[in-house]
Amino acid sequence: MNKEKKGPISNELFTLLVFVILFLSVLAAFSMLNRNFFSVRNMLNILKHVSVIAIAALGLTFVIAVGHADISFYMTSCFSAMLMSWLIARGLSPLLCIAAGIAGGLVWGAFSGFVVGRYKLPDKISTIAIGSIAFGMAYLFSDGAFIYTNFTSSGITDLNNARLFGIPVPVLIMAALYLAAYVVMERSKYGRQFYSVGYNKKAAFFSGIGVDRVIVVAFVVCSAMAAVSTMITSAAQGNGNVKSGLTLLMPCFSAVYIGFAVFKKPSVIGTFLGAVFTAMIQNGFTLMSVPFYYSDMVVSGLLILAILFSRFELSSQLARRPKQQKEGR
Amino acid sequence: MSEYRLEMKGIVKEFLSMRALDNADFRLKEGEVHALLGINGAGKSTMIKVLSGVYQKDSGKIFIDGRELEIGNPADAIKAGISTVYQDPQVVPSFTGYENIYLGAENNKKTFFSALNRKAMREKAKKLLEEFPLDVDIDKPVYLLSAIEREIIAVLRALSKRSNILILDEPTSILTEKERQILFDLVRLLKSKGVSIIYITHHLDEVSEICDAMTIFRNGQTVASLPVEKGKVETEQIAELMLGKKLTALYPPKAEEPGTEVLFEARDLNLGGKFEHISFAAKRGEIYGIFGLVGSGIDEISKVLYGAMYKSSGELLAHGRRLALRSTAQALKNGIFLVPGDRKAEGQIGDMPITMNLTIAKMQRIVNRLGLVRRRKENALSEEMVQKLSIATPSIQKKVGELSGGNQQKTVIGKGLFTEADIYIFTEPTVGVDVGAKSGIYEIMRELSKTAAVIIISSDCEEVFGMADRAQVIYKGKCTFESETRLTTLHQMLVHAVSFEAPAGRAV
Repeated sequence: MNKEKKGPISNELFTLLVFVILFLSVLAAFSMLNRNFFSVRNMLNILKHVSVIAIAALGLTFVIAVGHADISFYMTSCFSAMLMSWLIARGLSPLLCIAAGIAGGLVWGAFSGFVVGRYKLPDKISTIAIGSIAFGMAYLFSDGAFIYTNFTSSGITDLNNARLFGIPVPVLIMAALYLAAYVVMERSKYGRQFYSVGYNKKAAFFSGIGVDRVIVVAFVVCSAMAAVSTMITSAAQGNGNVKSGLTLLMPCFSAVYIGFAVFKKPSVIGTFLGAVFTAMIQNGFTLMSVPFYYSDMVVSGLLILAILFSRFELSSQLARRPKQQKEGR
Repeated sequence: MSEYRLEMKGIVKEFLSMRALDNADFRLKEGEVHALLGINGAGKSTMIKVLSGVYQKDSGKIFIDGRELEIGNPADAIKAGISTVYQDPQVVPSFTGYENIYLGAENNKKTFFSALNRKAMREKAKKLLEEFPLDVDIDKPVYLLSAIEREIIAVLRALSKRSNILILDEPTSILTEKERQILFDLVRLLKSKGVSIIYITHHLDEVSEICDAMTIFRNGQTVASLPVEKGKVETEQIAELMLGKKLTALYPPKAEEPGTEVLFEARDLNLGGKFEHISFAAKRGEIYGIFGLVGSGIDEISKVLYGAMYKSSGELLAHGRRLALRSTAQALKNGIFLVPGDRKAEGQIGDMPITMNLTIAKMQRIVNRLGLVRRRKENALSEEMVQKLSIATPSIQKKVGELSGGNQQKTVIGKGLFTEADIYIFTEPTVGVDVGAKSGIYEIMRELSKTAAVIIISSDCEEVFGMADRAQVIYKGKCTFESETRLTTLHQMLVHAVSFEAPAGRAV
């Protein structure tokens, strides 16, 4: 318990400043290394890529906010995407297929939520198991083969390609979801419930909050958002690929924890900043034709750094050393 | 050379704008054993931490042998000859005595590869033992040693650093009576060698036995510094200095008339293996007490009353209606609120601001029809509650975890008041709360009891006796005694809490 330092700048602002400087320097580095980085086309690409990561990371934010971790969302999202693709191949209307994909996510999320929230099993291991079941079942739709049937004719690719007022649909979906999530988490009583469960389950319980139910809802939201995200990826790729969601895990955790590090709590805005940052780095590496595993390494390294800084007050860590001699006065 | 080995003048230490030390003074002579007295939270441990470099003071001066000294970290303190021996001596069990004495100072040559010279280390330890003839085997691994021998090892470690100011932090708390005498001999030996000792204790008999002087702390200030005449300590006078106000004044006056309307009633509650046949009726206008020692089942009772544990049989009635509580939310809906026994784990959400803690149990009061929080209303109501309960905080946005124990508890109570319940259950309401805030909490409870039914469940007999108008005593999950508190004595209640033997009296 140390006395709060009343520096010229608050801790929150300082961390935010550090983040902005970091962000701008990465941006500057990429644009210098690659002429195409600042092109309109690439900016739109980044935005689309941001949407995919940001939507899945948004769901994960809810689970982290209630003090848990979900390692199943990226695998259950594969199930949802394959379910959607399979229904597309059967000739159902795209909207119905998307709804079915989301419903699939809801079911898997509820499964994880009940196991973790109601029956109190360890979250990480249980969700790895549940996610693996979902991933296994995703293979059943086509024995693991790509599903192309009806993809271009059904109009499902519009989920990625269409524009409204010149803005790509994925970006619009992302904006809508973030707006809704922001209102829920920061302004509504439901947000309070999520956070209070995350901070102190017992105290939340003694305050009359249905802790189990809140946890289930968080997992459901997480899987549903991941489902939306991977369905957009499938629409972009123009086929149903069992493995299309597998790249989500690290970027999403990085996004949430970068936000956590900046705002000292898992938050909607923080996750968005984290997602933009992560997506930008991935895109920059891709443009430079660096093999994917390098960007994976960087993103995972970022995650570790973010977890580290989510635990500490950055500015007081830096300020402590030189101050010590003077403070005796 | 100054008259004093150590002088601390006008020491101020603030934590989050609460003063833990407020112009505290302390003087220590050469070869003196000086007791530090004070209740928990009086500031004595903060003072010691300032001296040993764990905390940095905000203002004030420290003189060693007349020379002003800045102590910025623990290393500075050790260099100045100040060492601390904590309650539970920090030793490595598998190392021998001499290895523990020179732990962390094994090597003068600071190269990684230079050999660890056990022989030289042992010689040095032996020399130290010649200087301070103490009865301890330095060749045995420490886990084979008794508690007092470990303490001796820790003291030797301090002496090996040429410390001449030794802080003993409640040294007798883990010792047997016989070992206590060995410790006293040790203290006398050190004293004869000119070592000054700061002796922190709660036991006044130890003060009269080995201390030369004592300094009493209260609310972060030095209230008295007195010499100790051997074998004579004015217990009453010291207790009064430590507490500041008479104990009896701690509790507000009891209800003048018996309560009227029964708001909350338990009939023959049972919970397998925890308690059985618990019945009582709590009335508007009075406080009902349940006293039992830790483990007697009182904590479980409080949780069953709040729907946090399902009762296996029996009836609960609120406002004359039967309840089948299946959740805390249901209890709240029926106007019941529990202040849980474990404040940090169950009562408060330390990382959330005061406002959110106050409103969390009844957010319906601050949200609009869409479920969105109306912040202005929330802040206004929170401010009002903070004023009403006189929670000491610079802002309602402060995190509850950063408040003092008393203010944390007031926040939890505020959360209950915010729900506008009319049945309040307080479990261990003043654990970890300082005396000043204690009486504040008692007053809140008494005030509350005028319009609501208040139940106090506690393992502190005095508290139940002092607060409740009627009370029952629980022993091993059974009610052994029930009475109006003004018709019984503290002693009688205590007796029933430790045995079934005493005849059960029902005076209600």
